[in-house]
Amino acid sequence: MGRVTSFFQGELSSVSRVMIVIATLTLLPSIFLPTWNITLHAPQYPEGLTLVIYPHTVGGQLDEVNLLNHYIGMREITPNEFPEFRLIPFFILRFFAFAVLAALVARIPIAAIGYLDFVMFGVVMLYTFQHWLTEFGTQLSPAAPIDLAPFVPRFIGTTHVAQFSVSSMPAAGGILMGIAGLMGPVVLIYEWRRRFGSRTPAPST
Amino acid sequence: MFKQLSARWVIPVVAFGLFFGLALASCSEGGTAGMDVSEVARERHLSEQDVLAAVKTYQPTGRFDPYVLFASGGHSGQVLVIGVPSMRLLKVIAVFTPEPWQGYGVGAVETQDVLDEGRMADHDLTWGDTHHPALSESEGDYDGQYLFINDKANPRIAVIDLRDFETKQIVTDPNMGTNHGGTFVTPNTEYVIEAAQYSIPLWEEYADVDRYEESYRGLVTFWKFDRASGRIDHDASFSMELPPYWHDLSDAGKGPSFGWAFVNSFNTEMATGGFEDGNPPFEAGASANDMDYMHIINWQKAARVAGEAGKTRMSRGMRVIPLAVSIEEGLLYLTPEPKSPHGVDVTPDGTRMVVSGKLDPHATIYSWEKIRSAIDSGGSGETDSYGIPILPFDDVLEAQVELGLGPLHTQFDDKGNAYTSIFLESKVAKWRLDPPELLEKIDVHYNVGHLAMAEGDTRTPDGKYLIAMDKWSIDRFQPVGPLLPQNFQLIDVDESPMQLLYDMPIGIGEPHYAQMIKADKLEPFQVYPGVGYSPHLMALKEGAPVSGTERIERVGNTVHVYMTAMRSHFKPEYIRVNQGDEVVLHVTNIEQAHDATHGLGISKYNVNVSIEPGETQEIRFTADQAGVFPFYCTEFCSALHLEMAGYLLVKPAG
Repeated sequence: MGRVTSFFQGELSSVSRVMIVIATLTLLPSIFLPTWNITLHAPQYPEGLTLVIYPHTVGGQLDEVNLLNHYIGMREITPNEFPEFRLIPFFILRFFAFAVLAALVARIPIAAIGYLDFVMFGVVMLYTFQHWLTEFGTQLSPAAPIDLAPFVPRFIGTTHVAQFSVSSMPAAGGILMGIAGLMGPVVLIYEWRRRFGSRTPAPST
Repeated sequence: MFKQLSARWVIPVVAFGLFFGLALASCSEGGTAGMDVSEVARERHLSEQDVLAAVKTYQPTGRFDPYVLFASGGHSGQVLVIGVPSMRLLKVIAVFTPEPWQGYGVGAVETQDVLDEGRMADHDLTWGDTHHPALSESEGDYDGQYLFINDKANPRIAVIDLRDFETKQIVTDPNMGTNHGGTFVTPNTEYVIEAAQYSIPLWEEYADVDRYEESYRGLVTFWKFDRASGRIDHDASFSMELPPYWHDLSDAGKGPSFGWAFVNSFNTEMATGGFEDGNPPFEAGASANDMDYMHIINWQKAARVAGEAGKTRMSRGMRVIPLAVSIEEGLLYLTPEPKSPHGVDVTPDGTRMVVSGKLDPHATIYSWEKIRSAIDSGGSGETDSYGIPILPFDDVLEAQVELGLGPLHTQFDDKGNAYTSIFLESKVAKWRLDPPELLEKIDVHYNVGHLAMAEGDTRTPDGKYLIAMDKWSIDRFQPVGPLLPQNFQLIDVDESPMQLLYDMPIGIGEPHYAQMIKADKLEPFQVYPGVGYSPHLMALKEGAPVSGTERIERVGNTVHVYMTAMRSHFKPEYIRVNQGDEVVLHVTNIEQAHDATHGLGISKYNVNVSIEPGETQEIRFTADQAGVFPFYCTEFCSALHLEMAGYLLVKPAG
């Protein structure tokens, strides 16, 4: 307990500060880059149809996907209906600000709070993403030309719907966010070891 | 540590290697098990040469050909688009005649407008005799932007835009009876050249054949092409009066001969036929002389002269430079050419003109340098009976090379060779230009007309492929009744001797000439850029219906229907009108998906339009028949295609 308390009162080493700066640098472009791709594959779409989810909107072949969705009675996807898009870019900016501050003042508590904030945000966003996928996949109009059993696409991985296989995967921005997120545990372990040494035995030769 | 590692890893690595090797070996055996190439060849009686030809032409699914051939569709009045070397037919482009699949001339107003531009002598012309396609050029090379083609029967020229492979314009030449020496373009597509064939009276509407020499005239027209608008500019175009010889193929000079055009002629005898009256028939009368005349025309200077006041006369709405002006201004020269020639073909470097006289066994090679100095030295004073200066044959001749009986048309490769079709012998002759020498001949089947080689009439030919366009096929194909297909034969010219690779039957019209372009020079739209796009305007059309603006508006007796089409419904699905109403249907395919084309066919009203993704079309008709008429999507657009339909309800009058 004493170790934990003293750890959180500590300062960040310059190595950790550099790592946090790297995290900020990977975070910043993710505001503009696509976060997630949902790609639909079917024989008549040899290049696939992609929905590109950005922090602020949905792009890609949205019209074509909506057109196909009307056959199964899925309601139209319109970027304006998702309140998340108005908030996410600012959230990313907030994490960026936390990280810059942590790197500047070199205090572990600031870094830790910022990181917790970031992780919670990530969890909540993935949860809402899955929520929307469930909502769109299960609330199908009974008057649609094609009667399809409700389905729930996974936020990561592949789901089969009629002749389509639907793959949902993080895109460049999402991957960069993930890399930024990995910096948290790396810094934590590094700082811990720096103070209290490694508990892992040295490898035998 | 290293030892440990190696001991632990060597075995799996070796095992993996063994497994992988075995898997590979089994694949290569398994892939051909029971399908040995030589066995199949034996079973199908294919020689090694046949198998090689098949391998050279076969394209696996999804792989594109490196060349695209634009061929005349003959009497169909259309253009054929063919991949080379697979010889797969890619498309038939609607040009001079209605073509329902493309919604051309069966209800779509803008396509009907193009066909109506091609009306002549107050007739709807429902056929054409397309002969010579010409790809647009920049600096003497195909640029892949436009295609022109003539209709010999009804002297007219069509402009096809290669962004969407659709015909945009037809211009008619009211002063010609027929045309043949077109289309050929100048090196930057400044002009599209069209020479008449059978002379008719020029300055008067009617004159009997007994006044042939006084009243009948030949003609060459230089159609000014405006690349920006993609249209021929009628008012900036001009014709030149020529003697009443029958003019044949043309070509434009390039490089040192830039600015000049060359037009062949036959019947310089000015025979007027009348076999039934005991006169020699045309075929004899028009072949009496040993020499006809190649016409050498300074088109650059002619274009300037045509712009000067008092230098042209209007005839049937066209500016025509009279013969006397052409002689006075030095726009026109003649030089003898061997008997009844067909092709005049300028070499890639523009230094020589090759003429094939059908009734002379030679290719006759003229030197541009010698023609130029003969013109500059003021000529010999000799003229034809109309006063046109004649450059003496011996002064301008570079060489003659004997090729065989009935040489017709010449194309060039990238190695300094020329290839000439030999009609009577049914062969293609390969010969060297420097020094001129016959190299080899290959049999073709049969009666070969034109040749088309990869970029074979440009400044930089590619060689590789030659297509012999054979008029007769006799025994080459499965019998299909007494009217036989023509035969396009693909020949590999990089092999020595040349190898015949493939026979392609053409079961539509009698194609004449074709041009072959590198496929990567073509950059057509995959989808029209934007919803509400008009192929006629090549831009978004104002007021075109888009999603959300569908409606029906009545203005007096005219009912405007603003309709959209998408998979798998039209909106609106009912059109209610009264008998006698004028119906104007504006319809847009609001999709942007590759290949999601819709059609709109209306029962019994002779309407079918093709609406590609983004495209908008207008249909007009009078609802003169009362009743209920289903309309439906005529392209199998989706699983619910049959459900994509609606009703035109025409309420009886009174």
